[in-house]
Amino acid sequence: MFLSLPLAVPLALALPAAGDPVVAVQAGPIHLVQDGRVIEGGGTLLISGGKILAVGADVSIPAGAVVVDYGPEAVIIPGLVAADSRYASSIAAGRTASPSLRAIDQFDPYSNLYSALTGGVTSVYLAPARGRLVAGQGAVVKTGGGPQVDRVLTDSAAIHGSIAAEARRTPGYWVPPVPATVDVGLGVEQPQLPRTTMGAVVALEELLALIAGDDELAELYGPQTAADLGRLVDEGRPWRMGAASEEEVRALLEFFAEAKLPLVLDTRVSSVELAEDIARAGVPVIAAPHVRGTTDFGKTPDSDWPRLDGVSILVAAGVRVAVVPARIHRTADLRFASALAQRGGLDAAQALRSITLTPAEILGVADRVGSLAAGKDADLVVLNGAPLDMTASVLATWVGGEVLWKAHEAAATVIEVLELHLGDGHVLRPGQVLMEGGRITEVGARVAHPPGATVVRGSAAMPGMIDALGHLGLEGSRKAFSSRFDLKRLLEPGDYADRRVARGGVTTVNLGSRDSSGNSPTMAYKPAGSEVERMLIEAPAAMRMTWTSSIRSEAGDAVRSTLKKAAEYKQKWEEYEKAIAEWTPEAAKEKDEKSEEGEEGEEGDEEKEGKDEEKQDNKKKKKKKKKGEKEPARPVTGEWTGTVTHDEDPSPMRLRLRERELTLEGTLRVEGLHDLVSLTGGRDEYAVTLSGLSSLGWLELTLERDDQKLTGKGRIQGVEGPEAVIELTRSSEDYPVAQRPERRKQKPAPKIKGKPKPPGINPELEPIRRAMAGTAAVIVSVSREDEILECVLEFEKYGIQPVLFGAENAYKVADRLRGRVAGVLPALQAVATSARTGTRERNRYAELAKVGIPVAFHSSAEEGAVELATSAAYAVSHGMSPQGALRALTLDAARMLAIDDRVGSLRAGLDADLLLLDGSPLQVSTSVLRVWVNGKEIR
Amino acid sequence: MDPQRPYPNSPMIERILRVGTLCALSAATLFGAPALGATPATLGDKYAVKAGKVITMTGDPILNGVIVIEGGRITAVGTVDEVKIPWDAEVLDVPDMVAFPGFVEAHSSKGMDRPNETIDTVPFLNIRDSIDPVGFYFEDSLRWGVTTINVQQGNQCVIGGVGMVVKPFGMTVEELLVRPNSGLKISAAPKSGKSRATQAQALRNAFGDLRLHLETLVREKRDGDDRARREALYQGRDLSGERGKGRAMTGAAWTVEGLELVPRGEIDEKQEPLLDLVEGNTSVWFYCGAAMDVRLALEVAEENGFLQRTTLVLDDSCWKAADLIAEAGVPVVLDAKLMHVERDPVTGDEIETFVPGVFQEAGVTFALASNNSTTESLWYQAAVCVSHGMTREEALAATTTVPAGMLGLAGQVGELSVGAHGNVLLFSGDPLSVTSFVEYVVLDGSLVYDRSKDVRTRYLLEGVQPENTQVLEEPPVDEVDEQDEDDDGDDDDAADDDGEDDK
Repeated sequence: MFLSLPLAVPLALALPAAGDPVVAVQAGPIHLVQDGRVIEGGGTLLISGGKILAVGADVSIPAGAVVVDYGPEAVIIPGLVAADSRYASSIAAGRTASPSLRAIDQFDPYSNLYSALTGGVTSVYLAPARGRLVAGQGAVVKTGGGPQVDRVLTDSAAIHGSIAAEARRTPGYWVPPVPATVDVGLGVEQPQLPRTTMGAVVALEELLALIAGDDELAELYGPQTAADLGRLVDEGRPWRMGAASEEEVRALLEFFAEAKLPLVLDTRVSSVELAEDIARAGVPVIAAPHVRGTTDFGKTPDSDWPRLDGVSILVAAGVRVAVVPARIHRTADLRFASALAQRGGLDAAQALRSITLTPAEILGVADRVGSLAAGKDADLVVLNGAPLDMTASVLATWVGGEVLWKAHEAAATVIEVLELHLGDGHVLRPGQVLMEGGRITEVGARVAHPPGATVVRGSAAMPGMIDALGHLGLEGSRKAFSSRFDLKRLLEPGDYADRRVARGGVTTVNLGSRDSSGNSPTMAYKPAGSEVERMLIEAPAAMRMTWTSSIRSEAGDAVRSTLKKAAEYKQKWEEYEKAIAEWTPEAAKEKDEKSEEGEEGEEGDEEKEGKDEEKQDNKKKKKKKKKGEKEPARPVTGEWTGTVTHDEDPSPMRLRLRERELTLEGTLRVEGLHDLVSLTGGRDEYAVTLSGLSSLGWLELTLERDDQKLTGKGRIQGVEGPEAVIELTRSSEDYPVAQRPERRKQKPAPKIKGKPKPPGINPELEPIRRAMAGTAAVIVSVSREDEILECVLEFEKYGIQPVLFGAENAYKVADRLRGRVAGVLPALQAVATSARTGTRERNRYAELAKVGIPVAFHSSAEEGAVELATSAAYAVSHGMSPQGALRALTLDAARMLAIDDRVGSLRAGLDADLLLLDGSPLQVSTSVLRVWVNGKEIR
Repeated sequence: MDPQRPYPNSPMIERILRVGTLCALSAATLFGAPALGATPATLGDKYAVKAGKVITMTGDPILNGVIVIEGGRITAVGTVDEVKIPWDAEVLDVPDMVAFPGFVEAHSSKGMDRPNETIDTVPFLNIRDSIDPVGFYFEDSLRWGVTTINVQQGNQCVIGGVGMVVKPFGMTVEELLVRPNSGLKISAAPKSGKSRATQAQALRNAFGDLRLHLETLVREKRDGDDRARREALYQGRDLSGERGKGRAMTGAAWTVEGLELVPRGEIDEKQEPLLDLVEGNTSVWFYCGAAMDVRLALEVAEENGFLQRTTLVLDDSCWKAADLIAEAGVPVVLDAKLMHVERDPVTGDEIETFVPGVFQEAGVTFALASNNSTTESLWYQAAVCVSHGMTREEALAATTTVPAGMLGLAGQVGELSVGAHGNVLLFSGDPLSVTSFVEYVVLDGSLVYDRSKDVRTRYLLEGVQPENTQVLEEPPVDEVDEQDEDDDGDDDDAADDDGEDDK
């Protein structure tokens, strides 16, 4: 500790007060503005007690300091200083010269000016009022800060005034005589200067004379004006005077040069012609970029056309210029104003200075704000891009060492790379991707940067890779999936292995069972996803089948029979869909009317229908009630209303019951009994017994259930006489108090006569039906060339383009497969050698890809999928086109599996699965740096 | 000082006269005095209240207590056994009721025909010229148990007029009067047409002008110029006795040298109340419309030496400045809105703050105020405070003894103790209970309200049509915009009819 002390020299300069915690803020480039310095490549700011302790590239962080790291992409600049703001009132005093009007009186230290903080503006000038020759005293305050922050930078920054047109409409001044009597009269209004520029100059001269002691003028300008203004002049306050035209600027320059008083020009850039004069007079200027908004201003060359070069001309002449937002913009748009000045020719460093240190200097508060240096206030702005890059936005605004505003936790991420591989073979150089809400919303050379977006820069990016057939997620299971198995049940948010595979670049896996005998479905999903709902892409995504058989003559039989069944199944659905499209309830009605005439016929129909139903669902039929047979005992949950008769006097009664595993609870209300009786009891088949305590005594009910009726007897213990007779009918099946869902059979939708019935979904055949429609895939294992051709032909009959799995000899018939298969998943080993070919190697992937047959990589492994990129790189190293390999890993794989509407390429609307690479993809030297799945980074 | 009345022939005066005439026409119960249970007390009258429970506000409640009032003042408080009721005293024996001293309204702008003057700085005005003794507000105050009210100019001012403390019963301002000068009203919040800066400027300039005026007078006197004297004589000001003598200025914050040379009568009438203020003779009710106004108010009060005599009248949002107020040690009158609601500017969430709780925690002396005479009357405000965890004693004190102290009437009102005004409320139950009503009000030893004879309440609650009145199909639209005029409209006409009949 002692040894390290001499090293911490910058710390020693401004040691924190004891007890104040130290905060270290880290980011990428830090623009100090002081002496134009920029710490490129990352630096640290040490903050304590609201002040900056040290700033530099290698500042040693003291033990116990809180470290806030915005990452290497973030940029830190000093809190912006607005030399003018909208936060002042427009109500001026009655007098033309009102030096005692203090802008600071309008400042509310109890509220933060969030509208400024959102734009990174941390200090603002408050004008006392506008539209007076001397409106009052301006102030400079911080736009936010806790109670410990001294938010008032100066309560008297300048004598604020104007000789522009706005100040030449000063109304006459009138002192109301109180009380107005016959003797006193109402008095008359006293006219006030100025009405013209020369009037303004005369008034200024008179004010100086007044200060010098000309009492005659006291009545004209108010009794206290001389003292108030005199004090300000003695204190050396600058005169911040507004001027709108060249003449006014010239008049001000001349007057103040003669009076030897400090002047700050508050002007539009029409003063460019006078740049040299202003520079010679050493007068600083507060200027806004001269933009007009979309308003008309006159069509002649003399009209006040927008121009942006004003600031740069002034700066070039040697004038200190503080840039303020144009009238049409908000105070928070200060950075935009400076960017406009930059467009007018100002260099970037000057542009940044014109909204930070220069205004701080002109306002006399540069000792506290305006730049980042040890000892100054810790006011800083964290941006996600270069300070004057208008696509960059504010991530956080710090005032007095505290974060007062930060961008909302935006789901938006922008990736900016030099080389953006879209997956479909196109490359954007440079390219940007905007990801919002888990999806890609924009892809292009430059995309929108929503405020507060996380911006990531790198050299290359590509879509997440797809393992066309893998096992990640099976957890070692070797069992085949039943076609009835709901594959979604395998989904769970990514664990370590899943994330590790994703970080290797494989974001989508087409999960199939290891056992590939027989037909089994696969599921396309994202193992590393964090939300179950968004993890699933398609289930089932494909149906796996096997053509090859150990008995060669039987090869393909199983596939053929499945396809045939599937075709029949499809036919049924088509018929149903056609029927339902033609059917309307009215048509059914007509049919009803017709059939009423021939009753028998209809019955026959019904029977037929019944039979159909039987075929579909045997169980239903079994449950069907036969006439005369008692309904099976069902729960009695619900509301029962009826009467209770006692002494031949029926009174209404309501019973509400809830049944759970034959035990009952509920409530009873009976007329004449003024309390709600809580009941408990049980049910034994049809017998229901209930009891509870009422105000009259213990109450017991013995009831018998018959369909929708409950009948029985009730008695109250201790009450003599006959038992009461209870008759209740069910009025509802809901237990109104218990809002918990009851497991109950859904009431079947009322049957509409004549409405076509859906044929029911067969999970075994459904994926194949979808494959026929082109929305799912069939992966068929086949190897020999004759079998391949036969297989393809068979599938062609049903309109399916299969994905061939293995297909070792496909290269021999490649020409005849083109356009007839969705793709091929060749064997894992890309390079095939054999003694027969000598040293001539075959590349299984390249040879197919070359002739236009899509190929895809698959791992047939769980975590082994992580090597997919290496496998592809290996294929490239043996002659495969890198572009083709990239497509095989992304879009071609997605197309084969018909999931290219979700993944596989970078396109607006698709899932935001993206890899950030440190070099061109498919170079062996390239590695995956960062990975996003559904817009979320996988760490 | 008796400044000229701004409205010498105001309709208010006419109304008083008219009402006076009508009273003679046996319609008295319908005007101002809701239920005249007795003729107004005269000095020497004796009155005694026997109640089941007496809440004195100075000690523990007395069970089966007796309060004896002689000549308008309480002469004895104690249990039935301790206190002997004079043989000639009128006795109100209500064994099932609770006696309570009556609520004290620390600051109100109601009860005036118009609460605000247009001109910025008017310290020479007096509220008494604007008070409307038969205003509905006073009648309702009685109904809800408010027996002492500090009427001050409204908040729309820079330096307003002088307020007064009144009781809510009487036909003339003199009858209402409890204390003629309860201090000046000043506002730090911008009145309409002003920004905060121009308001602050006007406020500071008022004192700057005073200083300039005094310095001018001294300079003129030294120069042997008697312009001021001639002007004073011309305006008919009193220059005899004390008024003819000069006195050195005794301001705590600043003084003008040589003011003893200037006879006090020569000082401009309009400036004199401000001089009084700076010399520390006047209390100030300083209104703050936002937390940021508190700083200005305290600064102006400090700079001109009247901080010790200042009471802040606060808007509900001023709780944010509670620390600043606690540091300055000034008491405050809270806004009737006890729950301050604002939105978080970043998230848009609603934030609620219980205002009295903040001030209690900061250690600031505070009085509660009512928004209007009925729905948010003082008992309700106190009850709300109790519901937010304040003790009964603190909540009740904030409506009785604390405001009494602010008005300089500690020991006089807001408590039942020997020597205090004979103001007694009789509640049908606990004062803070919603089911309790004010059944009787005794003001300065005479019964002025009896709920069983309150025609308005009976009409409202029981639908009993007041005697000698009739329901009009269309209530007549009254001529002036005065707030309470409409309330009286029906009765007015009915009474007029009666009068004609009598003729």
